[in-house]
Amino acid sequence: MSAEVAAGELFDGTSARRHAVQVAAAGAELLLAGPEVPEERIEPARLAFIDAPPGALVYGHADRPGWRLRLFTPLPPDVAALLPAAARFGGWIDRLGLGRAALLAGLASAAVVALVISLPSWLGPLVPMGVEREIGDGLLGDLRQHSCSTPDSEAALTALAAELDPDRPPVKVQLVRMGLVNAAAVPGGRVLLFDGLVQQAKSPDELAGVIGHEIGHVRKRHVMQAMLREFGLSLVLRGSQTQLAGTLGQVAEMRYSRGAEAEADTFARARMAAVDVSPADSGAFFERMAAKDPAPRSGPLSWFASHPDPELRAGEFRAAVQPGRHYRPALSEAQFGAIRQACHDDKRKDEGLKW
Amino acid sequence: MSDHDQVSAFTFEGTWREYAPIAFTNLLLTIVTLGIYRFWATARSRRYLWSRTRFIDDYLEWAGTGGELFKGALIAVVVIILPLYGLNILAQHLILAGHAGLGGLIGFAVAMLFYVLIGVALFRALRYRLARTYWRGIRGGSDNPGLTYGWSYVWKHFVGLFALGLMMPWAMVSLWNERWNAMSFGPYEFSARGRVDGLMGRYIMCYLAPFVGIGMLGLAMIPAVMAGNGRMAPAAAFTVVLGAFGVYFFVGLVVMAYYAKYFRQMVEGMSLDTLEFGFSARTMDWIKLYLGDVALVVVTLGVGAIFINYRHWKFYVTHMHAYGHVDVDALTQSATAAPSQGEGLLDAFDMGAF
Ligand SMILES: [Zn+2]
Repeated sequence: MSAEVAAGELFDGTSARRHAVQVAAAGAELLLAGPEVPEERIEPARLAFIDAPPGALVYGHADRPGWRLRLFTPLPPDVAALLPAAARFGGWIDRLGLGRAALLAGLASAAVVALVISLPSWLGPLVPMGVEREIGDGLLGDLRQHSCSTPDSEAALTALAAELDPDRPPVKVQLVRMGLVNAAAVPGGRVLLFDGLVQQAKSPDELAGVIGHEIGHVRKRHVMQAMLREFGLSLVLRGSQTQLAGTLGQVAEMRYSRGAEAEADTFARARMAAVDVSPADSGAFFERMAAKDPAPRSGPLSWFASHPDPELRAGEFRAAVQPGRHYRPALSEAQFGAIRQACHDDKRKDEGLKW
Repeated sequence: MSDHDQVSAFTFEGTWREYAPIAFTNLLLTIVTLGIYRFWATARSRRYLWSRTRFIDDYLEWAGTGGELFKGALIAVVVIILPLYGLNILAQHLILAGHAGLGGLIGFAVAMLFYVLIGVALFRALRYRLARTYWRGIRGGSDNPGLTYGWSYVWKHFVGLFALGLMMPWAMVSLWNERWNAMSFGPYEFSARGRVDGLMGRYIMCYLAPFVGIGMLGLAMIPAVMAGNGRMAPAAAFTVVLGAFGVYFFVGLVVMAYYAKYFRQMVEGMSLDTLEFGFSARTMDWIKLYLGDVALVVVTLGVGAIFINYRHWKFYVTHMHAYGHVDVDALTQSATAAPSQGEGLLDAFDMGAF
């Protein structure tokens, strides 16, 4: 029998001369011959697919730089069977097929993105509280010159915090001379209570709800998580307190995830229930907030808002009220009064924090 | 065998229909791998473009791989970019901490080093591309590591700033020649003897173009403003916007006229053994190339950008000419070292080779 022969051209890699060749299958090897080249047997495993230009297939040789064998298609089946497979996209993509490879790569990439995005959430709690405290002190200092403090107000706030959160070391609640109706958990296990919110509060129970919520952020390590998310490592590396007001502004505006807010709310309600403080007034407080700012955080869009829907929160707090249970006020009238009067009575020379 | 006096030795035989599946799958794979596939995409795209480029009677071959480009980029980032970045941060810290002298010195050294490395990167990209380009089994290359070129890149550009920047054409020509004179293909070294003569006129035009353009715009605005009694009518405002675009286009035109002549003159100054080279693109061809790019990208809402490589390669190949003959027996294999990794530095700086 006479085997079929593939016609082609050979460049030997030593000169640019083109040699006409014929290739035939000889058992497991390829037999290469031509008028200008010595006949030789080539092990197919030494060949590497290079390209498939129109009407041809091009192969290189593992040990011979520049050696190129160009075979004209169609090839006899027995020769084709010995040649290495054509590569299109490279490596594993060819093995899997484009569709499956693209899908797998897409899934892997989505996983990587998800991991990077969720990195702060699981990295945050791993940062020791001591490190967070150092970062917080470095960023904000002790804030004493901006806070309002009288012996009575200090005692009242310390008592309220200790009751809501018996954990050690205690969370320090500081009253800040600012009109903002807000409170913030800041790095280092501290809660800032702005005087604006205190003046707005109608009862000590409202303060308890807000402080409980912020202590929740501290204890659940949301602060470190949010810091990592918003500033990345730059905050940790920056260290020193350069512009306090700017930094404090950024920290106070730090956004927590919806899940974190719900977690802090749950923490607050549980702690209030444990010490017989009613969540009813906190519900009313959130309702008032909702009335002031009704439009943007309602309906299905509220899922995307960085803060929880106040109406929803109000409902949750009101629903937590246990009918028939005997509640007591979170603070005595005198204690509440001392806190409300602190910024008025504290006569230290400070006109408040400039943002 | 010899091929005598081929007038258009270079032809491009690719079609965008053949290229489209490559471009689109490259785009898809690059997206799903968060950009990592782009090295393999580059190799795949070049393999196609080279394989459809005929020189005399045979095709070019791109032998570079995505893996080596990836490795090169990785090395560039770890060995060069990160240390430079670190030094730069150190310099800033020193300046903030009051050591302005030391910090400034380090900062200056980093900036200089960065500039040198841009030169080295450009040199190495050309070297890499030649070493990975085969024709009839023969490749090009260079044994020069390009460090000297890196320094030349800095000092020649510095000298180029002399005389209000009028030495810049000299710097560009001199750098082109230095770069190409270090390259070879097969056993032959490239000879680049590009000249500055004849470039100065167009270069001075580039210099004056912005002033002339803005001046003309100002003159054109006077009647419009006067008609509006000192205030601008909406029609006049529209004229101004149109005029600003006009100035921009005019300046681009003049710069293109300089670059077209520069490129033509540089290629015409090159030879390889008995081969002489020529480049036939005139200013209008370059303008059409770039306007075509813009139109392609705008009309396809950006997707057309994946065809820009193709358009540019086709442009270079169809306007490139070679005259003379090639003795295929004398064109033996290059003795230069084969590269082990790709144009990493260049990828990191995101630059082209020419
Ligand atoms: Zn919160």
